[in-house]
Amino acid sequence: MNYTFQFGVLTEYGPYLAGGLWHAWWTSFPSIIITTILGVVLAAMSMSQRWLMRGFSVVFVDLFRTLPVVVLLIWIHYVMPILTGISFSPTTSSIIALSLNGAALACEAFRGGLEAIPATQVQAAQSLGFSRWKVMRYITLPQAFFATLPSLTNVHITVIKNVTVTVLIAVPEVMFRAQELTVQFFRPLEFYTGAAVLYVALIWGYALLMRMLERLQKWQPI
Amino acid sequence: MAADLMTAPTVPAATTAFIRIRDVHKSYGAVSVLNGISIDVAQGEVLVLCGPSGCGKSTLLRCINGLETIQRGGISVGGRNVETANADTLQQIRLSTGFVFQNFNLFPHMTALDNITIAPMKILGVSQREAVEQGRALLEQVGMQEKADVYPFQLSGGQRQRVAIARALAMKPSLMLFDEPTSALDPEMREEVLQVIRKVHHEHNMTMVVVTHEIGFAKSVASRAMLLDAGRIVEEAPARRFFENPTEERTRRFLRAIIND
Repeated sequence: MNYTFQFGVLTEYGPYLAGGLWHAWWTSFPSIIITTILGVVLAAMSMSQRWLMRGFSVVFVDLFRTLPVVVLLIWIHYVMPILTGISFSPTTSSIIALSLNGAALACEAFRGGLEAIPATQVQAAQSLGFSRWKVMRYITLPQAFFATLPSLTNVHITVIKNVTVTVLIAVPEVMFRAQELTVQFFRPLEFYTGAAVLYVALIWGYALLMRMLERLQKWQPI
Repeated sequence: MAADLMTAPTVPAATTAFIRIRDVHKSYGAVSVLNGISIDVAQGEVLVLCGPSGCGKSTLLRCINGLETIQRGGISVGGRNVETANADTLQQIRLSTGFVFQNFNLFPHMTALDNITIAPMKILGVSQREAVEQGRALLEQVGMQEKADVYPFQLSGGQRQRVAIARALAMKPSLMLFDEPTSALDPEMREEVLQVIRKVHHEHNMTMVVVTHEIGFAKSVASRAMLLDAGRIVEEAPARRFFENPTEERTRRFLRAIIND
């Protein structure tokens, strides 16, 4: 191996590469929010008494967790405009694809958390006059939230990692810029290593934030 | 109805019954739990249910506020039919009925005070200020005013049960159902909980159905007691007579067993 490392290129183009983090964050952050909200709604639906609600949740989860993200992304960005005439910017298409995929995963995480709550909690709430919806809103979901946090963090990390596939539709995030710079300067090792370090830092920082959120739990299950 | 008169000799054909239970049958699949229970409970009366485990006493209690559904017969609470109730009526029945569980079932993610205020605020629409005021008064009533801001995991079993009783009282029920409220507690803690139940009965003259094997408590508070076995009423009598001079051999055997326990 007679490759000469020239990490010096990063002092000049590193800031441009790192600037891709801005796009990576603004693609992943809205996706994380939508993923979480949609995940909660789908999990609640999966426990509904109405079969239509349950059915919708099952079909949604099975569809979007089986569809590879790349296929979903390409389909939304290139195929959907042909069918419907509606087209989105690369970032919007990415947010939609990542959110749909993430919501299917988040639903399963929340469902696990909800199912872990003892039935006696529901009975206690019902005996006080809580409706099914209010039991969910005030009793089971708040308890499930903290129980679900660790696995929810995993889902969010998956969403952030999936941002790298948006390189395919030219969202100017870190991977896209690494590719762009490599083509210009023939320095794949330096630029892709830089991209790796930047993504690890972003995700590590996010995981740390979520760890702090876990510490906010003041109560313990009994 | 003839069967009624035989099993419930002390109850006149009560038209003023607050709880009216008629020929209730309940089974889980092939396992039948209740086999034709009929009994009335008048306003202000305290009925104690005894029986070996699996006799159906807890199930009967859960049927009264619709936590379980019955297959045959009828139950009415305060003039409302439980088995035919729609969601609204069922909620009305549950609002007028407080339920205290064997394992307390406090909401672990809320402080003692929040456990008490959540239902009045979110279901009755009581303002936070008013709910907190009432919550603190109830905590004082059960001797827990010091623990208002403590989470359930930091409380002992007896303390949890006292908070659970206050939580049920916060909805101002006209009927309280107690499902073995002291059987998950250490002996020393039982008395503190029983004391609270006594106090609640005396202060509110509340109608109560209590599943318990605490004979001393039952004798001092209950107006009537009955023994269930295999889903049937074995004996039903005024509390004092039931515990001191039961007529059925099965009851005598049961009482001997729990006294020696």
